Amino acid sequence: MAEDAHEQSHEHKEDGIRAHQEGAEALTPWVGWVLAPAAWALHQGIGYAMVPWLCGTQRVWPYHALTAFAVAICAIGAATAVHALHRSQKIRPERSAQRMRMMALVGLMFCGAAFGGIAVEYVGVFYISVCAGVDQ
Amino acid sequence: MTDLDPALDLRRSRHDPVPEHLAELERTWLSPPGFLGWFTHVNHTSIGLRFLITSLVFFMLAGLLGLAMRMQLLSPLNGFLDPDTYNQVMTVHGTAMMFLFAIPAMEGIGIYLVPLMVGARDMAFPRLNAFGYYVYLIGGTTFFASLFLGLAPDAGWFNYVPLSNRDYSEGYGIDVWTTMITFIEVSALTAAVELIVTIFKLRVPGMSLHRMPIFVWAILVMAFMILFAMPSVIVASAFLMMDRLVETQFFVAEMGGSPLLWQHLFWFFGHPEVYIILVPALGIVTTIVVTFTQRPVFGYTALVLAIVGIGMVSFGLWVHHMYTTGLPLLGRSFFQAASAMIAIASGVQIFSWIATLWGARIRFATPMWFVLGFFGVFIAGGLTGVMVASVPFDRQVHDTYFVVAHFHYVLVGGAVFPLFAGLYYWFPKATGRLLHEGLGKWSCAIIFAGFNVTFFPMHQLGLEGMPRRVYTYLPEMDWTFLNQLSSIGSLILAAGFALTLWNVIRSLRHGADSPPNPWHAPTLDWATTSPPLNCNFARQAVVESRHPVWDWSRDGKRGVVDGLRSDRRETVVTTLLDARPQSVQILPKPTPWPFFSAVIASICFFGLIFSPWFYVAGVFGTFVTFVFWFLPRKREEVV
Ligand code: HEM
Repeated sequence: MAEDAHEQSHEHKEDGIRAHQEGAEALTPWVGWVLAPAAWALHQGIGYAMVPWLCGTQRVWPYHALTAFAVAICAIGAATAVHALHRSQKIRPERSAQRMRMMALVGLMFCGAAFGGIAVEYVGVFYISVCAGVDQ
Repeated sequence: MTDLDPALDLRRSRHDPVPEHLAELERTWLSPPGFLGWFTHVNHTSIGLRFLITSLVFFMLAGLLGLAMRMQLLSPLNGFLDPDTYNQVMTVHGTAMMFLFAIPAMEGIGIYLVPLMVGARDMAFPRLNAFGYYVYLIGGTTFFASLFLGLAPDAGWFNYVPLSNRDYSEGYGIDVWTTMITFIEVSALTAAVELIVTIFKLRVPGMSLHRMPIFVWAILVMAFMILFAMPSVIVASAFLMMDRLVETQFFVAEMGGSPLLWQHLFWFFGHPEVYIILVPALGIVTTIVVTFTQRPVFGYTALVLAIVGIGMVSFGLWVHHMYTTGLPLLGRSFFQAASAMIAIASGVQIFSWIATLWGARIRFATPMWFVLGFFGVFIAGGLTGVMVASVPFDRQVHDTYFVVAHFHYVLVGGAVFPLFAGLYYWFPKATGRLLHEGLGKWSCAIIFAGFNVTFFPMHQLGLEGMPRRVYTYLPEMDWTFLNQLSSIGSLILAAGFALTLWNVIRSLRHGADSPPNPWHAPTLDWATTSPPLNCNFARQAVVESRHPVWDWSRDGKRGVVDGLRSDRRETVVTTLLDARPQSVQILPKPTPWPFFSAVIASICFFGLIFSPWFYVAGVFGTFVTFVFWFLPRKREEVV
């Protein structure tokens, strides 16, 4: 702890290494944590609600668009997590860097899992008619 | 909260850091003794234990109702319970097991252990904690008492409309369900808020997020899940309450309402609910696996990912309880896919545990036996879970005994086995005495055998078409033998539970004295006396890894926080991510006002069953008690 305090007060100017701040910067590793479930929930929730409407209009492209949008959100989350992973190599103390790496890694894996979730939900549309089981 | 006290100092100490002022500190944190004093307690150890003990009492009562149902089903056309009583017993059993036992037990264990594990002196809002407990105690007792007053609900634990509408359910039974469930969930919400704030802000210096014990992660996820899930059931039951009381039409199809809305709202809560119970249990299992293998858990990051992932995905599964309600097929397929996904997160955990156990010299004490029982039972429940998650299979077995078997495997495997493991593991912490090992192992073996004899045959009964929620069956159906087997199993199961009860009662008086850290565990809950001091820790610790107690026994020294005052209740506040010291929080003293608030709120909630005017009375009544609760402290106390 004492070393931590020392490390904190001493800015490492060389190699761009600097003391970690718990401010806005600290939010980056969380982005994957938030965007991944948001993308997946959005895809599932809106997709589920839009099925009767898709059947009524006999169009499927809005669902494809929704999927593309959800995947894009996942991609943004993943890119931010990767960015945070890189940044974690440049901050001190080491404890903060480790913590940031862990958060970023979990965020990245969340994005991967959410992408998987969106994909398995999406394939159904190629096999099941949008009107199957819809009261018309 | 004050700014960081300049005297606050983080040091390393070579000797046991007992400050001279320990006696004063203990006086400051003392919970008032005596009968009247009982109503003023706010310390988390006291409130956590109360939650646990109360929930175990409800477990026993609801378990007796389970036995009563099994006795009724022992033979065809049996007359032990009449149909109406069976419906009430079944509803109260299910509701009590879920709302009065499983969730509060997990909250209780969290409330007791989280401050100890994060090294804090108490929870962030001790009075709110006490309020939550009284709400739970009064609400739960009223709910259970309804069975003996002829006021019990009888529409099943998920209380579907239209059966629970006024047209089909007259009397007060359903009103008792709606009001008491809403009320009890207030207690769950208070516990969730406190646990989150305590975990985020009261961790000792050095305990960054990546050094938090897995158990604390699990409780954090549970608390967030409660926060997101409970409002849904509160809204649903408030709507139903209004439909029945002031004739709104939220769920009345003829008037433009939607009965399916009830199912959506209920299951948006109901499915995460299962994981609210399971996730802390996963934390207990991990804690025990680490301690009994004496090695760090394999794949800490993956485990955190799995626990948080389970928490999130569990909110996207609710429609799988509604596969037979005529929803669009494509829509159902989304939820089938999501349901299969949760098995991946569960699989990650199981592989983490296997990898931790692999090649380790495992100490097979009773907690570890229960953990192994958990593996067997829970994995079996998980496998049938994957089966019923698929639409075509579910349509065959929906509302049959197959489902009853499945969810008991998941709930007993996922909650009861880990809770009992935790009971044997932390009993020495709470009492200073060890439970008897021989009795514990016998109890575990008998529970395991009794459980499987009771619930395994139900799979077959379900496949043969026996519907759930029937008070009897005909001899021609050929279900008699399996039902008899199941009923005999339930007696064996009860004997197993009774053995643990006997072990607890016996050990409270005659149990061997426990050393301070009997299992050589690595977490901070074992870094203080057993039972813990009134103030939890003579000095708050500073940690430098995930296993502080192992570090200290290796290095022979520990880091401590110095400079906190001993004449008032203080605990260190740290930053959210890296747990850097930030300030000192002054915690409130014991007071009876949370109890009074809970009593007034209970009267109003119960009165709502009879007249909406109680709502108005409740607002004013609780407001008055809140004023006294929050009355500013004396000047010298907030300096
Ligand atoms: C201790 C041994 C237990 C026994 C002997 C037992 C027995 C039963 C029986 C016979 C039923 C009724 C089936 C029907 O008529 O449809 C039932 C339902 C239920 N049980 Fe248990 N049970 C036990 C433990 C538990 C536990 C630990 C939980 C939860 C943590 C639980 C939760 C439920 C629920 C939610 C229902 C459904 C009630 C409904 O259909 O509304 N049970 N149980």
